[in-house]
Amino acid sequence: MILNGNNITKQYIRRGEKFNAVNNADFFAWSGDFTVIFGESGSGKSTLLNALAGVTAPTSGNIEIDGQPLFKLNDEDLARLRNERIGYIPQNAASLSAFTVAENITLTSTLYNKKIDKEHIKALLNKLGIAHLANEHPQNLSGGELRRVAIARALANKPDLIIADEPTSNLDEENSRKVYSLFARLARTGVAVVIATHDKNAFGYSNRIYHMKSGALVPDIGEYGNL
Amino acid sequence: MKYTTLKIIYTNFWSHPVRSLGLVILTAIASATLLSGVIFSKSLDAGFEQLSSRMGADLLIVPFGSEAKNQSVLLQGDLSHKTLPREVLDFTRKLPGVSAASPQFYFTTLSASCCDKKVNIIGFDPKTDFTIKPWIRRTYKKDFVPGSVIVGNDINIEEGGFIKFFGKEFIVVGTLEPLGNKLDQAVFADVETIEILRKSAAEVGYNFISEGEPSAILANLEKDADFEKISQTIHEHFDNLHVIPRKNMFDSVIATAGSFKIAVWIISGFFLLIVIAVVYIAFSVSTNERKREFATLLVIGATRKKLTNIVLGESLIASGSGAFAGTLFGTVAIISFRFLIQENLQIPFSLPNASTILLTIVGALFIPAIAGIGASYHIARKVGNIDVYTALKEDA
Repeated sequence: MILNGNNITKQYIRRGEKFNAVNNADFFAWSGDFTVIFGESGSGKSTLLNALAGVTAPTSGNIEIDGQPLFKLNDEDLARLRNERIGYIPQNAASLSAFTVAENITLTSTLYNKKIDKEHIKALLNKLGIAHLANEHPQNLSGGELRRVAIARALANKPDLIIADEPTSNLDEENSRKVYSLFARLARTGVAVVIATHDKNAFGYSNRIYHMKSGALVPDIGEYGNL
Repeated sequence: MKYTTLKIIYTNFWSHPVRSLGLVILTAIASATLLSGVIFSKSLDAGFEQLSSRMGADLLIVPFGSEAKNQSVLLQGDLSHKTLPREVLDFTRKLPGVSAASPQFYFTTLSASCCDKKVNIIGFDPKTDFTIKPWIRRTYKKDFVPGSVIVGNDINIEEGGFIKFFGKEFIVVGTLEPLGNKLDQAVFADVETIEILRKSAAEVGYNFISEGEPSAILANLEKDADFEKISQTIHEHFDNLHVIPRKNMFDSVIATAGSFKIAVWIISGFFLLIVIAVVYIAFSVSTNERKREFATLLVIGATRKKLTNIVLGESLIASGSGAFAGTLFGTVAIISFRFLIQENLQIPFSLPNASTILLTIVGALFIPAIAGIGASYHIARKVGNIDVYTALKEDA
């Protein structure tokens, strides 16, 4: 799996003025990569991840998965690609309040009437420490528990690209470690992992770091010593 | 639509039961109002159509002081018992410009074997009649035999059965089509039968029926005949009567019916507008609250079209079930209360034919449902175009 982005620019209008949340960013990730995008709040990380996950089209630039330009796909094909190949964990992902935790996690399968891999789901719930919450409704869960539900949901379909925005926000140290370890193990099996964070603990698991500042994405060249 | 989408629609619908049921009830009211409004209008039209097809006279001569009553006999079957001198009929027939004139005899009896309430008896002369006979001929084609009667649609005596007046039995030879007014509860007889009835009443001590004196005379005029001149001539020769032209016979009632119809349409339109406004506001609020859920669905692989369909689906449940309930309620109500309506409104009211009713039911089902879905369409499109980044950031 190759994720490749060139000259990605996403422009918004704020108080009547245009500004580039992401400015001419180049990005790539291969199967087995554990990539960390590091940057302050408001630097454009979330906007970039939304574009890489095929959720928000960039104003200009191109994003491809295995040579397929994402935003040239029609709504249906792009949605199916998101469902089958990308496990995206947005920063403030919600859960559907009318569904139980288990139903929320298996939504990725049921949305397309696919068979649910119960063993895989069970293993995920155990690894993330939320197996006992399977029949609870989201409104009864804490912020950290909800975060782990969102992670489990993103991994439920065994994607070959995981994109996570601040995956460990709301998590304590132990649970953060569990999540990073899980991502690292997945990367070792050939999954491409891309996370945006300002948690420096993530660096220890990564093999590629990008630094993002004011919309500009630059490969880290030594500040954190990974490249 | 897939099971998960249906489940999302269903569970979201019930997650705010008060709001959802409010929408259902409102749409139900709109549907019921629309249905009853249209059927009410059509029933008035059908009532007038039947009446005017039956009431083919150009002028009506009635005893002075019973004009209103005699107009209402045409409309409602309320009878006046005043009579005209016998000579008026012969005089009218001979007038230049009059092509036909025929008497009618009205009286009421409580002494009947059929009915709990009073029975109106209407007599006519089959040899000269041109108003009642054509109507009767639709259901009864044979000659009129003395001692036989034809009954209105609401009198439950089958053909071949008997109805007893003043101790004398009269054979029922036919039942008329419904008219939608009190004439449905009337008994129709030719002049010879009326004479038998008069004698029977006299034998048991009731002498209120004057021999041969008509209650009203209905006349048709030749083309280009001058009504004013004819009316004036009759008035010059006879006192205590009134000549009413056809155009004036139903004026007040038609005006009343017209006002009712306008009111009904205004109310129906008002409720439709309310449905549109409330559905728009309710879905606007509800989808705003669930922006993050919609964004999350998009993230995990829902198409934008699916998000639109979820909103439209919820709207369809609310509007569709409301329209169904309203239509059902409206249909049952108008069929059950039609007699009460016609009694209280004092105007001809006859349910339209089955195909019109069916078409109205389909309209009452679909128009409010489509209005509801249409109102939510803009919101559904907005949800379909949701910006995930903004949606997830808001209210997080």
